[in-house]
Amino acid sequence: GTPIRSTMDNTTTVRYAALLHQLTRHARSTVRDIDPQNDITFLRIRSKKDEIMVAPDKDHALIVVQNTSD
Amino acid sequence: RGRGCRRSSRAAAAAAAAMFADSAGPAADVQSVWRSARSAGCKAKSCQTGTISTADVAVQSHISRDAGVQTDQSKDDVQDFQQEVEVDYSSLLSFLQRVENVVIKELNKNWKSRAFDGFEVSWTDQNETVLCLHTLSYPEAQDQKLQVTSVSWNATGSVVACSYGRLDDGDWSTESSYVCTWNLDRRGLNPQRPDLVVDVPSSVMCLAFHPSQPSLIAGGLFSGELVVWDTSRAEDPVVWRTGMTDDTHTDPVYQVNWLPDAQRRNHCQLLSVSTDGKILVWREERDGRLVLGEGFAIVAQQIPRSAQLKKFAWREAAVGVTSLSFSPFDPRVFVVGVEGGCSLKCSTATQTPALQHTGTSVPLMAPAELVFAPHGGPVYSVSCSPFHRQNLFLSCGTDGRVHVHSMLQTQPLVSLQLSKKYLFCVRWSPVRPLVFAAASGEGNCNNCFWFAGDVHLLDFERSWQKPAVSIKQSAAGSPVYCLEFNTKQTQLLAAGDAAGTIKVWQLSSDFTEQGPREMNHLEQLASETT
Repeated sequence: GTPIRSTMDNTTTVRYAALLHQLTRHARSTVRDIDPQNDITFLRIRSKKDEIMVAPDKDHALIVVQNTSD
Repeated sequence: RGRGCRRSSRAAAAAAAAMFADSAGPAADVQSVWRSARSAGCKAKSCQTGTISTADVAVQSHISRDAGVQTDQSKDDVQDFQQEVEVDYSSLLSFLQRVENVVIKELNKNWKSRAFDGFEVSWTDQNETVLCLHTLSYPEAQDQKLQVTSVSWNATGSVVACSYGRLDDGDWSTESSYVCTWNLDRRGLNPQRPDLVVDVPSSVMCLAFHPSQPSLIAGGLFSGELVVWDTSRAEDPVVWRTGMTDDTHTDPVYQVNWLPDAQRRNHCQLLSVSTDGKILVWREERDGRLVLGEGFAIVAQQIPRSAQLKKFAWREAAVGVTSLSFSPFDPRVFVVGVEGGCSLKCSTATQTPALQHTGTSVPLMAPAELVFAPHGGPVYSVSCSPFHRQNLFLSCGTDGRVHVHSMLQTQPLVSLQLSKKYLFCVRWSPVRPLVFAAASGEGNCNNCFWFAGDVHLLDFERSWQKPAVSIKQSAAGSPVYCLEFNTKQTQLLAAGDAAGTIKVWQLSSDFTEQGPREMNHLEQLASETT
């Protein structure tokens, strides 16, 4: 995944883009393996410190990182 | 017959002429017999490969771009990716419009959600108790009744080193002492036999391993000198020493630290702290000497007065420094603990020269900026929190209290009476922002002089007053003088006591995993005013 726009610094952006692109592809193939008529619409990863959300599409993907500790 | 002959001869001549003249006759075409016979038998019926029509549609060429360069300790900027990608803005716009609502809905749901409150996953095996993994000692040193004065873990977290010396000797001591190292990851570890024993002519008071080179270790001696050993060299481990010059400390060195060198990357400078009031920064010279780079001195007159501390009469005296801790966030700010009982916030960027300290090759500066509320006795240890930006730090002393200070105010945020005994060392945990450990022992309590030394682990998440765990180091009742967390294997804690043993404790899982809201609790703690 090549980053187009970002509000984070360059190194973090590139890392998130590359790692999440792979993960999204894997998630998508998992869902379609289980049911070929299905496809993923949204991906959320919750961790101790924050939550990563990915809205994927054919050509683009939007990645949002939200801090969950309040 | 003659006529016939003439005719035949004429014909013969014509034939001869035809035979010998140049003539271009038509090429004779002879049909190949065998091929036609063969192909008569076979005929092209159909061709399996259809005709391949080729046309250049697109060329897949390789566009490469440096996303990041990983070189040693340098930060290269990632090239700005925004300029180099060809973006179809209209499709990007339609994509964003499509996903915008979904994402915003999820974000809103998330911060209002209570679904995951109290939901915790444990990825590692939960370890419920605190165990003593190893009990290390050097029998020769124990025979000489030497005590463990300092422990240190190396850069990789697998080797623990300790220094033997005496902390209760008031006089000038010429006793030799030892520095011993054990590699805990080795099979066949013999707890009574250290991997390396270095004989040192004077008592070693403090030790520090180099932060990135796993074999270099620095020690401060009772005589005021500093020595750096290289544990990978078998014959003569001494690499650098200060020697006895005009620059060296005149009192025992109580703490030695490695500092990253601002000018030369990958090099470190050594910082030493001693009760003669001087804080000296040394750099390495080629012939194995340590040369003074810069220095600071704490003089009583130059400590900024604060209204609450008027009752302490400061005479013109050097103030003995017993411990020091650098702020992990600002490399110029450090905190020192002094024998007078208070902690001082200092800065390396100071410009005022120190009074009464002349005769050194490099002029000494007075770094003190702020005085914090004092303890009832000398401060033996200070430690800056590796987690908090505004620099919470701990200080402990012989009054048995631990103060949690914020660098912004003089009164402590929390003042805990941990025990009635002296506290010798206090350290923040490198993984949990709300946990710290304190080593105690000795004390004059109810006419009993020797009390069992304890290592107390305090967890602010559980209780503000009582230690979460108190570990008895030794049943024989010797005080614990030093302790260090292992930053690489975070469940290990090493503590050394006066009986000459070092115990490596394995902490339970609640001390090694950061809880989900700990940083917030830490912020809350720091922002409360007393």
